Amino acid sequence: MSEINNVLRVENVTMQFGGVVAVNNLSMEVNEGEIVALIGPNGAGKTTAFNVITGVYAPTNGRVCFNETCIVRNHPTGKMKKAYKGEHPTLYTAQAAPEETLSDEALETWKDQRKALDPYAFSDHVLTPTPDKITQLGMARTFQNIRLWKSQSVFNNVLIAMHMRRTSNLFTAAFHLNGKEERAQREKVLELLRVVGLEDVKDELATSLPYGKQRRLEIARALATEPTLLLLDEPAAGMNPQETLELADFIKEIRTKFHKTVLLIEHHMDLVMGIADRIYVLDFGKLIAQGVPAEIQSNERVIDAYLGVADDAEN
Amino acid sequence: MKSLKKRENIITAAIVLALLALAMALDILLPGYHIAIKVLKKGAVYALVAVSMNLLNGFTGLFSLGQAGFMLLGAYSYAVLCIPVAKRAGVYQYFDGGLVQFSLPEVLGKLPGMLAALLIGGLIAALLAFLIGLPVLRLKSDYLAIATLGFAEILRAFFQWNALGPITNGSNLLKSYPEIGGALAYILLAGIFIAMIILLVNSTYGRAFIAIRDDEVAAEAMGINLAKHKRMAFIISSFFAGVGGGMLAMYMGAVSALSFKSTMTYEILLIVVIGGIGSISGSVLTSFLYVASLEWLLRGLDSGTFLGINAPGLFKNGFRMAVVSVIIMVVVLFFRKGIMGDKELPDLFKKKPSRKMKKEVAAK
Repeated sequence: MSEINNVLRVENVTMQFGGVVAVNNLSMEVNEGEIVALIGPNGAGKTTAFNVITGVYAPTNGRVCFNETCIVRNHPTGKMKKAYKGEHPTLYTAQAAPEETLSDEALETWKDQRKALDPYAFSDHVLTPTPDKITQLGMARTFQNIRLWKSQSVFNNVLIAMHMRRTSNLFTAAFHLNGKEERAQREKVLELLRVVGLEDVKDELATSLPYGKQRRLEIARALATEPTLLLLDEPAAGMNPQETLELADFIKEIRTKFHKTVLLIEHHMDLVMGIADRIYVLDFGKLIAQGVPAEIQSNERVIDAYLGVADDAEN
Repeated sequence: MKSLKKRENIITAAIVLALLALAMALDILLPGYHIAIKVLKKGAVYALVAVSMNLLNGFTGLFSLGQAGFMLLGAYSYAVLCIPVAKRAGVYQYFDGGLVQFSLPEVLGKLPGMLAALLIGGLIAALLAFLIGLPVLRLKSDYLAIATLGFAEILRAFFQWNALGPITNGSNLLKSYPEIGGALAYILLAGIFIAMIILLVNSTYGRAFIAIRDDEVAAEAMGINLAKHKRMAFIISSFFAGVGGGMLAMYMGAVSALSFKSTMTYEILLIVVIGGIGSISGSVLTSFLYVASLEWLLRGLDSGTFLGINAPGLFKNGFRMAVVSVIIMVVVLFFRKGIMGDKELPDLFKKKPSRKMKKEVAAK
């Protein structure tokens, strides 16, 4: 298997809520240094996919690998397996079945390779770490419905996010013996706020900011956890065209300046087409297209499912 | 570190020092049994316990009602460890002088022994908090409150169990243990522990607690381990509640499990809510106000004469509590977020931005 530097690999992820299949057998890859967009009409399962990747939900099936370590995995068990195996056989194979294409010997080596990456690769073991552990590995997200810490200032919102990377323990922190680290953190917060352009409002309450600035603050907060992969959930929602343009430049800057990889969910087509290297399109939980922006723009299924609908809505 | 030269910090320090000097003066001028001294002592103890509860309920957002249980542990630890050996036979008269045959103040010296007993009480409370925290902290809001309340009630019954008599003296009183000193000693001791909590709240851990209170989902997504930090807050809060319980035992002079009813937790919850959830100075201020008005200023309402008005027909037993209830209702109605809201004392002395400054900011 040729390995391009996958930062994130989503394999056959299915997320089912009762009878609703919110994400249906989604597979996608994000390579290092890329800006990848996940688009789709409302209710297509984009945010659910995000929640699976960040460990909020345990997927019904499939797995997520981050920097070649498996961080989330699940296999269907019990009732669901029985009910759906007949209907959607492809749903419940954790990866494309190589049994048919490989020789016995090659299959064994392939399995060994898999097991080296993920010790539970061929068992029914469920691996669903809490979101904080995933963030610890270097993946940070923003939220579609802004979730800032509302009683805290802009400055503190970013500062709190640095808590995870602390080296001080409870006692050194409580008795303020970690002055050096504290000062370094505060300086870094100021730097981040400068980058997102919120330095002048640092002492204001986070929730008193206008919408666009709150979104920027969320990005700054996510960057404060020192991620290698940044997940942005509709970063331009509620922004005016001017702010959206600025945001596009800013996201590109994140890549060049901080060397982060970005996966974003977005509705603003201008933004996505302008900055994304590759695009995945979801509709009713299923991946209907993937490719570079130009391909997506001319893909008929996408136009039918998404762009067409959006046009209708505008008319 | 924020600059200590700021105007509001200087004013706060001045106020605190002035109050300490006042307590010292009262200690010298008034006899130890004077009601003002008693109010200061009990107020200091309640302040510590209220702040410890505020750390959990106000700063971390965990609605726990187990405070009386943890205080009970602290109080019993202090009493058991501090009764002089010579008096044990008398105190444990139904249990052959009890199991514990040493007294920390006699082993370590008076003051270190008493302090050690207080800390041990806190540690025992913290240990129990660790144990019950594992299952209980998976619950949320009201359910957590009921579980912790139940735990405190069980503990109270457990301590009166005769089989534990050699240690807890069954349902009999524990008494004859030493007290630390006058009002100033209480205030200083409580002050030191409260200062520790203030330092903690202003540290990176305190900020993490606040993040959990404000938005659990966001806190977790930003890498804060919810289970670990909640347990941490629960244990720390219980530790200080245990220490506060030990101090309460000192103040009361005799301990019995009966006095650590859930009403005590409610009293403290009341102080926290009226003082302002998430305000340490609010809790401290309200503790003294509450204790002073209940034990002293409004006493007359029960005994016939209040503010020079003599009306034995109206001012008789029970009327005080009716008035207190009305006062509490009025306070809650007019201060929706408590007396201090989520502000601290220094915040009150910050220079307010003048109109001109506000305009400049708006123009930006």
